[in-house]
Amino acid sequence: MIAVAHAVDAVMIDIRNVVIRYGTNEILRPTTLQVTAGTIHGIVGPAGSGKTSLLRSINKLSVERDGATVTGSIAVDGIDVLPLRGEALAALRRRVGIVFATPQPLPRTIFENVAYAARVAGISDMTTLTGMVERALRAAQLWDEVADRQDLMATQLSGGQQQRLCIARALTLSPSVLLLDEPCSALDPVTTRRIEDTLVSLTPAVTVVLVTNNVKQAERVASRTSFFLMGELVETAPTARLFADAGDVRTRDYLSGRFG
Amino acid sequence: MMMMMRRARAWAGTASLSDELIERALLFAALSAVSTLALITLFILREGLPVLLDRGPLAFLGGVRWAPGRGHFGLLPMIAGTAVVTIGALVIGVPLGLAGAITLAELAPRRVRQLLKPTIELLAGIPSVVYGFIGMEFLVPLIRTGGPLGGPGYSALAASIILGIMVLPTIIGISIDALEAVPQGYRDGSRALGATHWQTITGVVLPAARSGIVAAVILGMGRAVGETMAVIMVAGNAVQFPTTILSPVRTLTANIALEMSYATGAHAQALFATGIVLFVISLSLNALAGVVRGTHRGAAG
Amino acid sequence: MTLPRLLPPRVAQRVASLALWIATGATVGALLFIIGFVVRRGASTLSWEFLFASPRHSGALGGILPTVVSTFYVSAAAVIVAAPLGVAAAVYLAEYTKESRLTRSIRSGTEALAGIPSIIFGLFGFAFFVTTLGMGWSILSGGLTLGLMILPTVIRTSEEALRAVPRAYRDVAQSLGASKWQSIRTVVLPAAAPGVMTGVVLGIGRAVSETAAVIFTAGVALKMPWSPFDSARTMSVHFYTLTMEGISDDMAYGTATVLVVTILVINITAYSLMNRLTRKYR
Repeated sequence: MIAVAHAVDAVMIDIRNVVIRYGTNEILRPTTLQVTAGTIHGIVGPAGSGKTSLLRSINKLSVERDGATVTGSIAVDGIDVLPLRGEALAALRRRVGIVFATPQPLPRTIFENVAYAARVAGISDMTTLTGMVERALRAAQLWDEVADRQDLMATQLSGGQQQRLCIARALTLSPSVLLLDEPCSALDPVTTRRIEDTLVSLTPAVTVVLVTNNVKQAERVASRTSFFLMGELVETAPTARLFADAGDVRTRDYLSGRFG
Repeated sequence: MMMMMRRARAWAGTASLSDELIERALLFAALSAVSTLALITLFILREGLPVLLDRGPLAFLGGVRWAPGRGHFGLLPMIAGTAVVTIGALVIGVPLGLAGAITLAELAPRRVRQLLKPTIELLAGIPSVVYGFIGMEFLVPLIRTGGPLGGPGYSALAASIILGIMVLPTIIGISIDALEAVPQGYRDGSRALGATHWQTITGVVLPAARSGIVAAVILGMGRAVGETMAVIMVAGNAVQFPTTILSPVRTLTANIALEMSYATGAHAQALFATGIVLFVISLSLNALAGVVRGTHRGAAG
Repeated sequence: MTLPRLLPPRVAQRVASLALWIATGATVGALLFIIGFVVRRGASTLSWEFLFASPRHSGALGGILPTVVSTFYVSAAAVIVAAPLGVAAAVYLAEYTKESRLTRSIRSGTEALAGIPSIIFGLFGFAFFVTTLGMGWSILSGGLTLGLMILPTVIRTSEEALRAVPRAYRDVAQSLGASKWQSIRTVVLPAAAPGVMTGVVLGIGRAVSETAAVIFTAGVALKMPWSPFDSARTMSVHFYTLTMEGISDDMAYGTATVLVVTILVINITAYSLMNRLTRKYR
């Protein structure tokens, strides 16, 4: 991965006073949150707490695809996301990759899945594409398994492989940010472990935001974690401190399994 | 990474411009399509309404004499013709169609169904003139001379039989969809309670698929009402009230087709008015089928 | 709905099954008989001369080449009108509009128009294209009329096919930096292609078999058409004329055979196209 130089503790994603509504329904109350560059930031909380909506707002997918109304400001590497449209928005999405909860390979070959983002960006030279695909597959730790069968239909891979393919696909254009929405919820523990290792290996070149319903996963890989409950950001802290001695009683209860 | 950003930005102007252009073009296409279809509706209304309003819809629809040369535009004989022929078609088409649908959806092994269902749908594509021709060659002589029936052969009966066969693919196809949409759980539950296959079909599956099947029949009816060529070839086309099933009749569609090429003035307008009547019948049947289907969607959950 | 117990359940079942199978057999048999009968008598008339020669004596002798060509031109004109317009309209409706009262009424409007009797389109085509616009009986009039006739069906099947494409595909494509149109062009349309193409092909089938709408717009001139403004007689119209005027039984059967075979080929193409593309893209 290309090493991008950032000052230590630079803020990569700056979320300020963000409110998310669907129609008149307020899903997320005013939320302020900073994600440090080059780290894995965990977002935990029970279902319906607004985690996914917030994540999908970082690349404005929630607005364009789900019909949400988002106010406030979200800045990625200094660029304010919410006013972006058209080509500028597409350019942003080449720098911010996203992986969804269920593996969603496109109905085409493994190679074409990973190459898609590059083709859409206008790259058509096969040598370039082949190189980019290989780099992405290696970064997702899938290269060894599919190197000699990249012409296979992506749907023929196993669930875990498909999800790693989706990670590779999101990494093709070397994004600076990778968003993941409960990526391991449909996967077995072994594959989950492999993906967690992959995420760790991506830093510090890539900033990772990981929404997860598995608090142990956050404890394993995230350096900072935010706890959301019913549309409200309860607190954010370095992971170790959050798990050992959270400030808010609700956080303590959730993390210890007393509810959720 | 930075190089890519620069290249993307240079490219940026053209990409979003063409995206907007495409959206406009697609909108234009959608508007054109919709407005053209609206245009057809309005045109027919414009041509046919004057005579309809002039003579009064009741006189037009209820008038028993159709003699354009003398200015008589009563549609009732043709309405009766359409009605008789359509009902006859349903008498033949519904039992056979339902039987076929039940057999294919419930009784037939999967292989047979996969073979027969597309076959029947394929047969829906046979031109109506071919059906009419077969009617002329076989059915009409058969009715005239082949037994106790008699009459000229060209009759409401012949038209009903031919139309009945023509609507079979429609009725079978939509009924099969309705039957296949019944959750397997209903059947399993019924069998688990000890019912035989047939009891399950009559007691559980058919009632559940009822609205879909009714919709199929209504749409089959719509097809029968709208059929022109086959009817012209076997129904006799006499402008008279059908006294028996063996009387020659003329349907609304045949009326338009037979007189269109030489009608002028008020006569032509009267044909458009007939078109309006067919339009309304067809739209109503379609709407009815939609309503019937809609209630089913509400109830099944 | 319970039927009175006339027979013990097991017996009732056997009787019912038998009755159903007989009825189904009769249905399929009747339909196959019609095709078989026509093709059997018509096959003997078929020959290279039949297909490629011109008719003589009003069609009593010779061949049916002009009608085959006319059928092709008229159907082609219809598809050129209906396919791009219909698919584009469907793309706009399915991808660029949100579900609303307007889209629902447009949808029920197109569905309703798909069921309008073809004679009405013939009536419209005659009054508008042939008379008002002065195009006369011509391939153009016929093609435009048929195009409008199959337009609602093309829009409906295309829209259904587009809406059937999983939502996630669009999410994925756009999240990878594709613009809306790019995502439609590279992911959604290819995935919907089987359904869309089937709709178009079936529309072609309908255009080829149509008689009522064509006879009053394209006319009955039994000659080789050289321009879109020429009147032209399609195969179905020719068959109808031969039959009603009793010109020649043999020619009629031959024409009908060509017609039926053409339509069967078109429909089978549609189905196998749909199957093959579905397998490739699912």
